[in-house]
Amino acid sequence: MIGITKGLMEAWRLISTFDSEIYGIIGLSLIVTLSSTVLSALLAVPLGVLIGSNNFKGKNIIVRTINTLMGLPPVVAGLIVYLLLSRTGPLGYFGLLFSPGAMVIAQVCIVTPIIAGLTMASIRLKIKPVKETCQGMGLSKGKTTRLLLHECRYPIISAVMAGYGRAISEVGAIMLVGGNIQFKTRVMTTAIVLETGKGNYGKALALGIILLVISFAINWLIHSVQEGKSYEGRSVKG
Amino acid sequence: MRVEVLKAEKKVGGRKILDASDFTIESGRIYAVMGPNGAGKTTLLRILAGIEQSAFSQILYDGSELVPRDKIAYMTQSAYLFDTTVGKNVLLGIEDEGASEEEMNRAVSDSLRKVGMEGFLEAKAKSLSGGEAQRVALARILIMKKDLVLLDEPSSATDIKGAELIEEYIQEVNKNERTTFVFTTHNPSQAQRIADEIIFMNSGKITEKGVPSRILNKPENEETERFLRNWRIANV
Ligand SMILES: Nc1ncnc2c1ncn2[C@@H]1O[C@H](COP(=O)(O)OP(=O)(O)O)[C@@H](O)[C@H]1O
Ligand SMILES: [Mg+2]
Repeated sequence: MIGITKGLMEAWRLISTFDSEIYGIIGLSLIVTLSSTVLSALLAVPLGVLIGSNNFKGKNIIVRTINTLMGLPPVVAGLIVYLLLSRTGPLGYFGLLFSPGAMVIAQVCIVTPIIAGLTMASIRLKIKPVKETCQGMGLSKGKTTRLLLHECRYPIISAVMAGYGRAISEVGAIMLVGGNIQFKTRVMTTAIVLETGKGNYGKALALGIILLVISFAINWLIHSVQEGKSYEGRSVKG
Repeated sequence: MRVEVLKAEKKVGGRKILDASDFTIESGRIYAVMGPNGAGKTTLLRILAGIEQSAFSQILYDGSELVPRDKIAYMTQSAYLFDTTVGKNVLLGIEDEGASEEEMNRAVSDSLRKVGMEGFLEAKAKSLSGGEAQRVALARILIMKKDLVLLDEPSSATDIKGAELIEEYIQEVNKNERTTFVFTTHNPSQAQRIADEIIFMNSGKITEKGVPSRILNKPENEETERFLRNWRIANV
């Protein structure tokens, strides 16, 4: 108990005095996770829309693969990226291992299937009525796609935020490929692991509290996006 | 638009769900397609619209084998409105045609008034009831002024007043624009009110085709007769 109380007080001190190392860690966490989420979204949303709205041979296999990869353990993704980027690996030439770039790559591997899978699922719910209605009106393919995206905008936004939630809370992959190097690749989750191991509960708790706040904010956003939708559906006018 | 159906066929897993041949939809007329659930009415409409792929069908649109998609409108059995305002939904089909904003707004208002939804221009489409949504969907289809309009149970969710508005609107467009209509319905008196001809279907086949007064009073086909008898019993 005393450990926790002391830890909380230390946490408050670090946060309120704008401890530069702590804020550096937070900053890097945000840069890495936002970059990987944006990159993933750019890949995954078009992919999810494409797969969700078309029928082709082998679609089932692709859908199942994506659904499986949605649950890919981050450590495994980290391991694969590690092997690819290590000096003797096929991409070793770029010397990316133990850099924020490597962390982004590993997280893209984890987050892309999540966003793609959720996007795909939401498209699949809407594609039939939207496509039939557009065909019936003789609308162009481009316009049909725009309308489809419009109809699925809330679940797609939720999908991207769910992807971000995974990125910010993930530790296994960035630990492996980033190496948790002080002032270089140390982010919130890896720092918590390290500081807890060293017994520096204050630092660990300070970061834990901030991580919780960010996670809470993301979840709150996802929910208000979803609630905003049903609320909008109910507001009657005219 | 004159549509000559030499053959309209659809197989699903070896079962023929539609097997109709040798009938003509004459230009500028109104056709009611009737028949029990699963008779193949929706499938027929979708094939006429060119939405359902069917390798074995042979249909001539004004003499041509190519489906003139830009001249055909098809309204689905359950109306789907997009998650925006009622007005914008109706505008969708005409907004790319280069008319002035004023013209378009007038057309939208006119069309909504004809289906009795004039007060709903700014309302959220997703907040409408089934019958209201169906009427908006009809306005959205008819505003486009296509030559051939295919409507799948256009008044299945409306009340009597709504059905009446829909019927009047169909007749008006048919008269003024010489639009050809094919619609499905479960209501013989609706068919009698607005259709020039009834096409009666059963198990994927056309069992009877003719003027409503004849079909409804003197059906030749046993299935047609049973269908009408049941309807009368349910509607006394
Ligand atoms: N894509 C499909 N796959 C399998 N069966 C279908 C498909 N579409 C229609 N059917 C079947 O074909 C028959 C005719 O359907 P439909 O044209 O919708 O009938 P109706 O509109 O007259 O009620 C029904 O038995 C229906 O279950
Ligand atoms: Mg049907």
